[in-house]
Amino acid sequence: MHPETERLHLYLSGALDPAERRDVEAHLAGCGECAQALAELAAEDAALAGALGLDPAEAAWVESVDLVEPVMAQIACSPRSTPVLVLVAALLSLAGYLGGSLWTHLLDLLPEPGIGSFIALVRTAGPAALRLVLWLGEGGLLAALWPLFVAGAAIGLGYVLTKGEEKRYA
Amino acid sequence: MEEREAVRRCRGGDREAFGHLVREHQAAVLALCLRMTGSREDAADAAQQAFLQAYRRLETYDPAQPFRPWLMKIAANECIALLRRRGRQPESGDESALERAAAPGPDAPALVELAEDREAVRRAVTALPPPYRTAVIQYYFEGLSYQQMAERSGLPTGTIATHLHRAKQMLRRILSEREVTVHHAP
Repeated sequence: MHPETERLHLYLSGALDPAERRDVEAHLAGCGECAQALAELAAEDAALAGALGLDPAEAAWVESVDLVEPVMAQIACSPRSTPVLVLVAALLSLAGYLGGSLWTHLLDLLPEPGIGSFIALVRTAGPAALRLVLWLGEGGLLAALWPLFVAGAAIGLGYVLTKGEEKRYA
Repeated sequence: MEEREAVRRCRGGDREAFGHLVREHQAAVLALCLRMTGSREDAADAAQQAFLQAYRRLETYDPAQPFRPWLMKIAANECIALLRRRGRQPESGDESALERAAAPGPDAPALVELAEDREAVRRAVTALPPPYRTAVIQYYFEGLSYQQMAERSGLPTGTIATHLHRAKQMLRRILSEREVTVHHAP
């Protein structure tokens, strides 16, 4: 069976592994039609490579253009990438979480008016779910949410500053 | 300044170090963009955007790898994006129609003969769908091997070979139609 044209392309470019290469060569040795097809492919490759090379006028143009100044002017007001901003957002989130937890525990230390004795009882003997409800009620919810808000704002800002520009070229 | 040092300094916040990278690679990027877009104005625009994108994505570059292939991949993508924005590139949905019509007629002249008209070949290449155009330019213009093309595109070498084969068929068809038009012109 004759090898497909793609296979001859791969053979020509040296992309076949040794065993496949030997198979193709064995076939070519006994098949004038495929040997002729291979020669035509090689001639086409050479012709296309020659046609697509830069001519002297194009080469002169390429050498004459200086992109340094316009590129540097553009990047002067362009943040490099979002990872730094994401890191900052993550650190802010962590700080917010730790701060919120600390604040909640500080509230625990304060004397609680009214139902304080009941709350103390629930906290020592009640199930974990009730304790969570109390924690959220004491401000833990806010403490848990605000770092998320800060992270969202920071990531959003990063997107606006960096990805917004990239989106035009997507 | 060495390339690796320039990248390291740039990542550390030294923007001026990026100027060294632009100076070092601008000719290669411009040449690629010129062949991809077929226009000096578009090539300069795409090359500039490619450097800007490279600067923004510098954190994603692996310094253990050569810088130029990474940059050239960005440049090729910028060219395709630019041509799409300007309506000079078929959208992906149109590519299948182009492929169906890719096969040259039985009487079409050989590609070797048709390729003698360099200007026509360059124009025909700019009419290829993006994956085929990229394959043709990487192989015949940049001189990449199939393995390098596969690494750059993430496609198997067999797919690269298929792209090149179909691209040549399309080029032969486009060029032979032009040939007929030229010979029959009043």
